[in-house]
This record gives sequence, C-alpha cells and structure tokens, in this order.
Amino acid sequence: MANWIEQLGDRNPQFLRECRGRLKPRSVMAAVGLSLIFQFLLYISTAEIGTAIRVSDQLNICRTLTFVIPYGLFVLGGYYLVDDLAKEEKSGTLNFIRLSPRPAFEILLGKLLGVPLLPVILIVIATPLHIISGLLGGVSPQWFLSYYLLVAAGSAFVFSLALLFGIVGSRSALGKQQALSAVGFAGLALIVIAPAFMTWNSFVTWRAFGAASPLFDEFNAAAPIEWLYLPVAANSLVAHLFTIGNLVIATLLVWRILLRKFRVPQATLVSKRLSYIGVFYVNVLAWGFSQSGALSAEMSLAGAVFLLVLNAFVFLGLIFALAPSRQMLLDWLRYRQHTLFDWIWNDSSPSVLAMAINVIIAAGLIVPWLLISDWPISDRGSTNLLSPVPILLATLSIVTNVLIYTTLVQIIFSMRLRSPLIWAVGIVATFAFVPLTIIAILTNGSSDRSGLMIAVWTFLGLPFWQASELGNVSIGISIGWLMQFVVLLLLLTRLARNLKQLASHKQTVSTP
Amino acid sequence: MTEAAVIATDQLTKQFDDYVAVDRVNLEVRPGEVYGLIGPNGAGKTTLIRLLAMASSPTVGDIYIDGQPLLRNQPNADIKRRIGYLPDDFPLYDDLSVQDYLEYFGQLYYLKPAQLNVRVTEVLALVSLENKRHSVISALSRGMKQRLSLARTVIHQPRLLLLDEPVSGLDPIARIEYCETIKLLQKQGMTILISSHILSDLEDFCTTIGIMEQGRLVESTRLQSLYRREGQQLLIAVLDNNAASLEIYLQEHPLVSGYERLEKSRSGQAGKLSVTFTGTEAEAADLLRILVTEGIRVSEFHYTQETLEDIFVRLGYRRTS
Repeated sequence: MANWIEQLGDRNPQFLRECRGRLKPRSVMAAVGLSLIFQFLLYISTAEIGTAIRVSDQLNICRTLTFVIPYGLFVLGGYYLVDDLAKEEKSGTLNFIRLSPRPAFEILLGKLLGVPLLPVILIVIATPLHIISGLLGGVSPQWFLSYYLLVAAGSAFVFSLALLFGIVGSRSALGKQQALSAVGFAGLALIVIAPAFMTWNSFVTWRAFGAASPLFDEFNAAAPIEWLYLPVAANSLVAHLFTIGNLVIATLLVWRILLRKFRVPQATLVSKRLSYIGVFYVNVLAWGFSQSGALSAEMSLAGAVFLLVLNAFVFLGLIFALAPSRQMLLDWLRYRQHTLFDWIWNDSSPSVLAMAINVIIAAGLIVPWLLISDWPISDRGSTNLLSPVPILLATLSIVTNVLIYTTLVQIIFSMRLRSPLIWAVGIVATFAFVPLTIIAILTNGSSDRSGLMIAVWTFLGLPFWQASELGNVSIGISIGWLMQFVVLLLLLTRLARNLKQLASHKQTVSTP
Repeated sequence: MTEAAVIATDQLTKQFDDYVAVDRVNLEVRPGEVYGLIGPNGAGKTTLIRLLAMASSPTVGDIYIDGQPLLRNQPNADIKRRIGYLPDDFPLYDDLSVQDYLEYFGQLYYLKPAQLNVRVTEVLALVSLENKRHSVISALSRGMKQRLSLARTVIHQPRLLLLDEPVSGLDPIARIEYCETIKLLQKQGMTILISSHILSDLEDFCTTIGIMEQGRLVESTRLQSLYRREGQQLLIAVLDNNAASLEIYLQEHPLVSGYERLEKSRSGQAGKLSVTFTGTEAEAADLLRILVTEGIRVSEFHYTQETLEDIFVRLGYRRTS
C-alpha cells in the first residue's frame, strides 16, 4: 500500500496531495452516507412497499439516476474545482505550485482528478443501483457502456472548464469572492451545461439504441439530426464518434487556454492564434447542422439566425478575451517591434486587427452560404435567393459594429482605471443594449420599415431588417453603416492617440 | 557576467506602468556567496527576487542561472529544480500534516521515494521541527510555520536559495535560531540571496552586500570591502596651529577617502576631524606614528568600526541627497 502511494506521488504529486487533503474518513463517510440515503429515498418513492417491484419502476429509478449522475458530477465537481482554485489563488499557494519544475499539465491534471473526488465517490456509490435497475428495466448493457463513456468525456470537459473558470475568475475583479465564482459555475453547469449534455445525447447519441435507452420514450419523436448531410444520429458508432470527437476538441481548446493562463496569469485569455482556430471551428460546427436534408427552408433560415446569434456571443466574448491589458500594451509599445505580423499574431498588440480577421473568417463561411441558398423570403411562401447588395452591406455593418466595440474595449483597457474589465463590460452592455431597447419601445417593435428606421437599426447593430421595398433596405443599411464608420474612425483616432501617449511614457532601456 | 556566477543579470528591468520597480540591474552572485540585499521600502528588492525566482517576468533584460538563460514564458524546469524560493508571505496548506506537506513539495521537485523520507527527516532536524512531524499545519505557531516554509524551500537541496524577508515578524529568540539555520545552509554550500531590514543579522552571515534604491542596484560589494571602504572611522583631534598641516596631509593620504570637520579651532581650521579610513587597524597605527613624526601634535586619536546599519544610513542619505 505504502509503495503504491509512493509511486502515485512520484507520478503525480498533485493528485496524491488532493487525495490526502480530501479523503479524510469523516468526509468519505459523509459522501457514502449521503449517496445511500438518496438512493433509499429514491427507491421507496418509486416502488410500492410490500409488493414486488415492477419493471416500469425499475426503469423509472434508472431514468432518474441517468439524470442525477451527470447533474451531480457537473454541478458538484465544478463547484469543488472552482472553489479550490479560487482558494489557492487567494491564499497564494498556487504560486508555489507554478514555480515547481513539474509540467503545468501534470499539476492541473492532478487537480482535475483529485479535487472532485468526493462528488465522484457520491456518484460511484449510486452506479450499482443505476445499472441493476436499468438492466432489470430492459436497458441494454451497451447503453450503459455508452452512458458512462459519455459521462466521463463530459466530466473531462466540464471539469477542465471549471479549472479555467477557477484560475481566470479568481484573478478578476468579480472573482475575488471565491464562493460567488464557485456558485456561479455550479449555476452554469445546472442551467446550461448539464441540460445541454443530456438533451444532445438523448436526441442524438442514444437515439440508435431505441427502446434499449431509458430516455427513448422522451426523445424519440424528434427528427434525426444531420450534420453536413451526415445522419449523425442514425448510426450509433457515428453518433458516438461525433459527440466524443467534439467533446475532445472542445476539451483540448479549453486546455490550451488553461495551460497558457496557468503559466502566464497576466496573458490575455485567448491567444490570437487560438481565436482564429476557435472561430473557424465553432462556425463550421454550427453551420454544419443547417446543412441537412431533413430541414425545411424555414428551419434553415432559423439555423442562419441561430448562427448569427451564436457569432454575436462568440465575438462579444472575444472582444474581452483578446484585448491586452494596459501593462501589456505599454510593454509592447515600448520594447517590441510593431510590424503587421505583430498586429496579427502577437498577443500583446491591440486586438482590433485580430478581431477583424475573426469576423472575416466567420463571414467567409456564412455570407457565400446566404448568397447561394434559397430562402423563404417571398410573401407567396416560395423560396428565393437573397439580394447580394443588402447582404454584403449588412456584413460590412456587422464587421464595423464588432470593430467599434473592440476599439472601445481596447481604449478602456489602455486607460489607467481601477477595474478596467468592469468598466468595459458596463459600457459595452450599455451601448449594445440600452439604445436598441429604447428604440424598440419607441417605435413599437418592427412596425416602421422606412429607410430611415433601417438606418437607425443598422447603426445600433441590427442591419438585417425586412423592408417593404428592396431599395429601402440597401439605402437604410448604407446610411447606418456610414454612421457606424464615422464612429469607428473617431474611436480609432482616439485609440491611436492613447497608444501614442503610452508609447511616449518613460522608457528606461533602449528598444532591443 | 562570468560563467561561474550562480546568478547573473543583464540590464534587468521591471516596469509597472510608469513606475520602474527594477531599473537596469546588473547583478552577479558567485557560488557559495551569501548575498544580502538591502534598501529602503519600495527600493525593488522583492520585485528583483521575484524576477529571479520566475514568479514574475522582466519587462526587459536577461537572467542567467548557472550561466543558463531564463527563457520567457517557458517552463524552465531544469533551472527551477536548482532554485528554492521563500517569499515574504508564506502560505501553507493548513489541511495537511507537516510530513505530508514536505513530501508533497519533495515530490513536486522530483525527489525519489527513497530520498524523500531521508530528506524530510533532515530538513525537519534543520528547522528543529522533528517533534511536529505528524502535526497538522493549522496547529503550528507562526514561528513554526515560518520554519516549516524554510524546510519546504530547501527540501530539494537547491543550489540557489532566494529568501525575501525571512525573519520578519519573528521574536528575537526565533530570529536568532532562524539565522543559525541560514548559516547551516551556507555551510552546506548553498548560494543564498537574502533580503532583510534587520541589518545586524545580515552582517552576521553575509559575504556580499547589495544596496538598492529606487530600483537601481547602487552598490554591490564584498562586505569586508565595504567595511574597509566605508566602515572605518578615525577621530583625530589636533592642537590649533597643527590643523592646516593635518588637513593637507589627509588630503594626500591614499587610505583616506574623505573627512568631515566636527569642531572648528579658534583659527578657523579643523580642530577635530572624522576621517573615513580604508586601511586596517595596523595601518591606522602607522598613520598616527607618521603624524607624530611629521610634528603634528595629536591630542585625540580613535579608531572605530561602523556597523552595516550605520554605513547604510550614511550611504543612503548621501545618495538620496
């Protein structure tokens, strides 16, 4: 036993440290006890006492546990990880680990495996009941194999995300309240991640199992999903490869960010290089789902709208994730080269050009698709090609709009402020949503389709607007875009002035 | 920069916004040296040590450990294994026992299972915590925690030890014990760079002293050289009509680096002088003999050795002014 522990410590001391810190007899007993009490309550609430348990009851127990296991793991495991990282960052112990010669990957893997040990014990104790009740209820053994494989892959992704949340969150102005950031992540896991995981797998990955899946009754009615006309849900092997493949890619992307932030905490959240890869990956993945023979024209249009909304969120995140801090800008301006190559790849350079490249990557995929596809836009219900002029003008407007917010955030980050991130989030949120809401209220939603109103909507960030006449759309978007362009020019002038001022600040050593 | 230096820096600079915390520092610490870094608060000592420990990265400039350059944003694992760093705060894992804590750090620094137990015993003996081996860290006193931090810092037998204010907050007895431990580490052959405000402690075991002011390393010299150059004072008083001859003689003497008039004689010449003397005690005796031979009538002659604190205060005042 002692020899085994020594070997474990030699291989991954971080994991052994977590085991020693967490696996105290009292904590383990509490986890086991809680799990057993929950199982007992579940059993007596499902089965009738005194009568033989029915097959449907067994299936119900299995079905409940099928939901409880990922929810419990993601929420509790995520909470433990964020809380632990935030605590270590706050107390300063994480710095000692950073300064050790062990690779960052090994340390973080030790954390990922060791910190959520108690939630894992809690769940593992429930697995015999899950499997036995499922088998007695008619669930196939292969489904269990798939289920636990996916739960493991999903946990790897969620726990990696939690590590990232813990490291990044604890250093931000908002994350100083360690309990708050842990609860925040647990909430995200509960409301978004776990439901998305269960819904996707029930619809797609386990669809081919048919009645051998305990969730088949709840999800069998939906049309099988396709990706690039590939029926990913129809074949079990393809569905698993697709799901696990994407979970692996997403986990790898998170790890790239994680390792970078662990090694250099002051670095921007995402490197410029990774942002280009990430935007391309997200767009191809999301766009692929709209390339389906099973989708009607209306659903394809909804897919296009979804893609635009998804990109809006991606870019909103990237605006903050790519912007270097004032200190990074200062160092870059004082001591580094300022070539075009530097603007595209160097993470310390202002993010404006990198954001433009990211928008062009997304637009390069979406715009040709919008132009060559048939869309249900005529009043008679038939489908037509979209007119290229408004589409191109709208694209130009979206690019300009993203650059406006990027420049605005970069200006705020270049200023000497106590909490630049909070200022930036507040100002962007105010400019992005308040005027739109006011105009929507004043104009009673979409009732006014004049060129002037289209110009106003475009200026405020919504260039897609149906008008009674095609001419109105083009003129409206053009005017709106011109106004945006003027604002962008003013902001870029201001940013250039700020950068010039920063560069002229005291420099102690001549540029190498 | 010499190949043999354990630490060498070249134009090392760390700038926070407009504030230059470390300003073009060229530091060299040779093997086996105990280098004391002194300076007023905000002089840049902690920032310099953090840069050397890789806890922070320089704005510009280079660091070499054992002649090997530290690479920016790289793991530098090989160099990290050679460094032990103790910051001025010492966060610990309160939930672990002393033994588990030391084993954890030993393993982080690739100590093999066979070495680990031996090293834990050795470092616990070094910091006199053998009887606390199985205690939980949260139950230790502040002084014990500080000693445990030192044990953690040396568990992997680093070649270079970076200690930032290691004795701050300790009571006098604990401080003396702590300093004894540092002397033991010095005897084991470790190169030590230590910053402290308690100059009498540094005087006790440092071989070299660096003085920092406003981010600059304004002085970096062997302690004995510093004493010789700045730390020996002669107090000479002469009779009235001899004052002018004494001043002329001192101005030309090779071992006199300066003098200050303390009292004026009736004729307006120096009656009593405080002389900065760079020679030995024997050379001071020679000086007295020569003065007398030259016919200068000396009424008082004192040879005194200044402490590091006196020198620091005097030098600091001189440079700032």
